[in-house]
Amino acid sequence: MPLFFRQAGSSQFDGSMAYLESLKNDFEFNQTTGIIEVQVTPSTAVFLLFARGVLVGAYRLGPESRQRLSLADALASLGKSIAPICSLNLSDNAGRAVWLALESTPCDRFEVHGANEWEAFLAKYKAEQFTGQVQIRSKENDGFVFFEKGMPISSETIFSTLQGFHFNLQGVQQSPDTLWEVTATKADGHSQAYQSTLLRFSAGKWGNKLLSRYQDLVGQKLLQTLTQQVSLFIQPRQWNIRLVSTTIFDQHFFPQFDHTVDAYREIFMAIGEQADLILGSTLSQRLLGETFTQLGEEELASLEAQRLIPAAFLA
Amino acid sequence: METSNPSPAEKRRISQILSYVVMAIAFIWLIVTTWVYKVGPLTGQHADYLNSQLYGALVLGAALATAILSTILAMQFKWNEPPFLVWLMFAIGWWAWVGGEASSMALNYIWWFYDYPDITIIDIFYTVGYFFFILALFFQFRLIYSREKKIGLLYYFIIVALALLATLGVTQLALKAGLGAGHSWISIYQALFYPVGDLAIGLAALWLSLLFGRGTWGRPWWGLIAFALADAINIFLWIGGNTLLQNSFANGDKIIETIDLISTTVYTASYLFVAIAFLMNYNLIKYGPAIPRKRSATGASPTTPR
Repeated sequence: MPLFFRQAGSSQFDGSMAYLESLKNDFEFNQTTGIIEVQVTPSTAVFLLFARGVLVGAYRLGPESRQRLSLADALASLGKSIAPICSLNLSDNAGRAVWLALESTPCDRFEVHGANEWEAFLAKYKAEQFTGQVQIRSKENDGFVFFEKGMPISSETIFSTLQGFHFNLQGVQQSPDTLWEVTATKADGHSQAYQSTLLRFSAGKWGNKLLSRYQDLVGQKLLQTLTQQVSLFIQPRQWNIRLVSTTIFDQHFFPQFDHTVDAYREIFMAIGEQADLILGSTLSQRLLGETFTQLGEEELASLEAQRLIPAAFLA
Repeated sequence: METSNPSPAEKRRISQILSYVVMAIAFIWLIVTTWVYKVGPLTGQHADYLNSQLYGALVLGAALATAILSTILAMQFKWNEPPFLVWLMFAIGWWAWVGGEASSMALNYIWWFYDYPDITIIDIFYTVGYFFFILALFFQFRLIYSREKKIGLLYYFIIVALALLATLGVTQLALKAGLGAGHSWISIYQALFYPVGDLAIGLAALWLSLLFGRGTWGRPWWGLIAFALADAINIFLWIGGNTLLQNSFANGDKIIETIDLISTTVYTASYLFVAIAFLMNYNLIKYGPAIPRKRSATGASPTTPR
């Protein structure tokens, strides 16, 4: 019955609205990330998605429709009846992938059989410069991969197997399965999930370029000092974001787009302050500007729309 | 008995205290050096020689501190890290100048009662030092301005060739103006290479200082600006400024003496300043900056997870 991450071992019961509410309260109380799936009719399910205990949204999924609901409507959809309800705790990046899936519309469905078809499928997306999320299901694997301009992004790839979660597409291709169901989705550009994903990519790319350039100028040890200082700043905020060498690893699931924007604004400000201290404001501004202009058009637009721009990060 | 290792914050604090101690020592060193130059405290049969050597030893000490600390800083980088070349070339430049200061003392010992030859090993050391400083600046600018398309060393050699050509031009002008009377062409050329080199590295260092602004990483370059100033005064007096001042002012000798003392003080201060800047950068690498965060972009409480 579960639509997402079937091998992850969700708990399943037939339950009423009271049971649904108690599950919801559990997520909120324990501040966990996860999903509750209610099979309202054989072809329709209602989903409640949580990010660290905060309700991200409620959704109704039909055979060809996806609709965002209010919490009241979601609870009411069960009415007085008893329905199969399953809940699944997820990691933050798995939760993010589900969020994007729930806010995207399927645009292409096909099956892949064997290595040749895998190659053809990947080559086709590369040629088309496809950007969007793809759900891949097989007997052994169930999960998502995000393609950006035809290239699969490893940080946005997550699959459940009976042995646990894994994060690479090669693992799916090399599994003993013989048939993979692929559903490509097209995100609504205004959806919070897609905006968050795009901002994460854009800010992440900018941050990586910035850190790499900073390392060029001051060396590895001072870069390490900077990442330590920024990590100290992140720590009390409990964001699951790490700076390792010249890479920003963001595995945090922010329940709202604005929270993602705020987090990156704070992180870039912390980086800017550290860089300012060592390199001075002119050179830091130059580094911010130079690395910013190396981003793609869509990435620039995503950052500029939130005023995440070089001038915003130095005093 | 139990001993505990100091925390990073404690280590940072200790390093800061040590830096202040070093600064105090440097300041006292500068005062003593200036005093020795001005007063000449040693008396007796060879007082002039001994005072000159004592002054030379004090300047050599400052130069040695700079060279040692620049080397320690350069050693903080792996050989394949881009800044390594910048600081290595800078360190070699300082060692060349240590060679210049040391050979100056040695030549003083050998030729105290005679005139120096036109070109000595001192000039070779200083000139090599300039070439390495220009190379360090070249690598630093290349790191800042040409990351994607790295410009080759050919440009460095063009810069050096231009500096040598500019010296040639200045030498001809100086000779036409009647400056440097009694000196050979090569010694005038060599002497004039210093202000040209000073101007080149001084301007480049000034540019870097403006780029780095308040940033601590750029401070060692500031010393080159001060050296340019000290050397410019020195060379001005040497190529005829002495006579010019004596002829132009009634108290010309007093003015010359004052200017010369300023130049000497700035010269020693430059070494000490660069040494301290290297020490600060070393502390920065080793223990990190001590300044806490000042502001928050969104006003969000750091203890409120999202």
